[in-house]
Amino acid sequence: MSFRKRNVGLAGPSSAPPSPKDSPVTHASVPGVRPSPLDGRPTTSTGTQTLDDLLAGHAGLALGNSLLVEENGTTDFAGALLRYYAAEGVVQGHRVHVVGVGEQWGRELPGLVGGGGAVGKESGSGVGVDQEKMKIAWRYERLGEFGTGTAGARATPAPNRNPVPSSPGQSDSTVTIPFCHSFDLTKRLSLPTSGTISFTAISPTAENPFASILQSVTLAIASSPPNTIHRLIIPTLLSPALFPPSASHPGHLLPFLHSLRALLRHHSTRMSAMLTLPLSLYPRSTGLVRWIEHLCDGVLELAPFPHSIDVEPPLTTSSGSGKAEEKPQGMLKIHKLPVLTEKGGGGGGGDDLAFSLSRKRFVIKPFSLPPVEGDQEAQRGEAEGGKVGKVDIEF
Amino acid sequence: MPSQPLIPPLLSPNLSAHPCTSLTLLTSTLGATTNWLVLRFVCATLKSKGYGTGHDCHITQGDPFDQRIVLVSWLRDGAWWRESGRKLGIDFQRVHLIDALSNGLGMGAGGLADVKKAIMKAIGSKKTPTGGGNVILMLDGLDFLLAATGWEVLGMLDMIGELREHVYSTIIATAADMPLSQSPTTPLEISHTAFVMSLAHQARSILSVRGLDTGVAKDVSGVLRISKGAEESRDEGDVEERECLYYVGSDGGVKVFERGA
Repeated sequence: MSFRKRNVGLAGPSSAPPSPKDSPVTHASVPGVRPSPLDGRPTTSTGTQTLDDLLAGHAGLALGNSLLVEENGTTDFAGALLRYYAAEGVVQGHRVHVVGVGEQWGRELPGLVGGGGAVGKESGSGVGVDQEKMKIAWRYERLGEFGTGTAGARATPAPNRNPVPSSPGQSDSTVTIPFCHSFDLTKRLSLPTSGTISFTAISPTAENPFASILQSVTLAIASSPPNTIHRLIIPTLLSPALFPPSASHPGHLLPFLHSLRALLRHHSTRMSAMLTLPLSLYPRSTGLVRWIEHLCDGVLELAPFPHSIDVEPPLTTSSGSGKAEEKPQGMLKIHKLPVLTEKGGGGGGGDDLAFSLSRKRFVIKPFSLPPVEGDQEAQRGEAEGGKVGKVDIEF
Repeated sequence: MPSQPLIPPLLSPNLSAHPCTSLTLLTSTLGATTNWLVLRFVCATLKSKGYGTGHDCHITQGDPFDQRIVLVSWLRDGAWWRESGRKLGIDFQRVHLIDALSNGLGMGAGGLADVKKAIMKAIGSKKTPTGGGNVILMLDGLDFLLAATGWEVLGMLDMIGELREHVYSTIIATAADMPLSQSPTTPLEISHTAFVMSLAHQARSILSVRGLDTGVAKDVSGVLRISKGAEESRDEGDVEERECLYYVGSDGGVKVFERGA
């Protein structure tokens, strides 16, 4: 019900999505796209700040590239990344194409932190935050992200499940548009218009289930204005829940990914794609998966810790920024990075990376082992006796 | 590091001097691609002064300084090659680029015959009017076709053999990841293994790149191994087996250095 109501309220500003885009925006002609600090190629945000930062210094996913997120086990962290990516696209007014899943998936996109989850509203506090951001050069913008994110969150009262249009929100299409938004998994994003997000069904009986996907995306790109940015999303590629058995035949899958790659390259300033693959069903040790990886531009692997289900903080806790959420929930491995690997460069930095998902953020950071539990006495002893020991050694 | 030479000195003996009718195999892995190597081959070939250790060869007539290239790429688009090549000063007038990523060469109904026809046409167009000229054929990602179409490996090798008869020398870049050929069980893995193995037997030298075995480092992109193929010439013995490290900067510049250097 509330979904419909908000839609009605929004019909005015959002019935013509290109119009807020065309309104004078100071730092970028197309919302959600900015030049890479490395070489100036257009990049767009994945909706996850720390993931943007990982992508070989481009501070975003370079348009014309695809990102494959693989996940071990039965968790759905990759799905969270995918939803952020979709939600970011919706907020920025990009066209989002989702393959395989139904519209329910679109209704479960996370809402904006601090905002009502709706697009195109004005509010005093939001403008303030954004203007402050404007003063900082955009390439340093991410440094201030953490502070603004939490501040915005605190300003919002607790009952977020049904975001009210009158609550203070971010001004997305007014003064400036942030490159990457913060999303709250407990909220729901209200989809502005029906045209923003489209769902392509996979025919369960077709001999080649992929044939229709690229056709519809190609058609959508061709029929949209030239400055529209498109995002293609394929959740759980090859999962038997969505794809018929014939999908995993190399003769169907690989030509599809090949044409997708060609399509991305052809629209190298207008399109990006993100796919997820369940590794438990299709292990990395098989030739087919290796070819899937070869055909995607960036490949990340999520390996959740087996115990993380127990310690995972409940998503509904009101104090979302507690210590517990910083606890790593799994390891993240980079196998391939967009742009850089094509040139011949190796994977990311030297650090082991861990990720943690909390209500408000998906954080990727260098992994360091926590102090061994139950070893506090030894640690304390070390700390107390440290000076003495030092003196002893220096003697 | 702008002062780097375009072609790393450690590598230059391997990049130019390919004898007539030789096959050079480049193998890559997921995190370590051979694109930079292919580009260096193009660059070195266009800059080289005639034949390397070439001897009299039935194809070499015409101007010995006139080396031309036919580059067919199934995994990377033409714009990418042009853009990357421009930084190296590659003159694309002398390179016939077939963008098989965009045109889906070989994926249609015509299959292998289409591929052969397109490449033969390109070779023909790059030959000088006198009938000579040295065309060097470079195939990037031909193994993708094998994986995606499920063609017979023998047919593919036959085609390569036939194409090689019409060019001065051939360079083929394929993937050689462990999952593709470690314990081949699926048809895809079996044919990939057979394909790469056969090429390795036909090759004069094999240049393989892989990630660093000990993990990721900031100043090393991967390991380059140069080894002799089974067809390494009986009399020349000029392929020096070695293993070195390389680093590709974000600007595309390449450094090749010995371990510990």
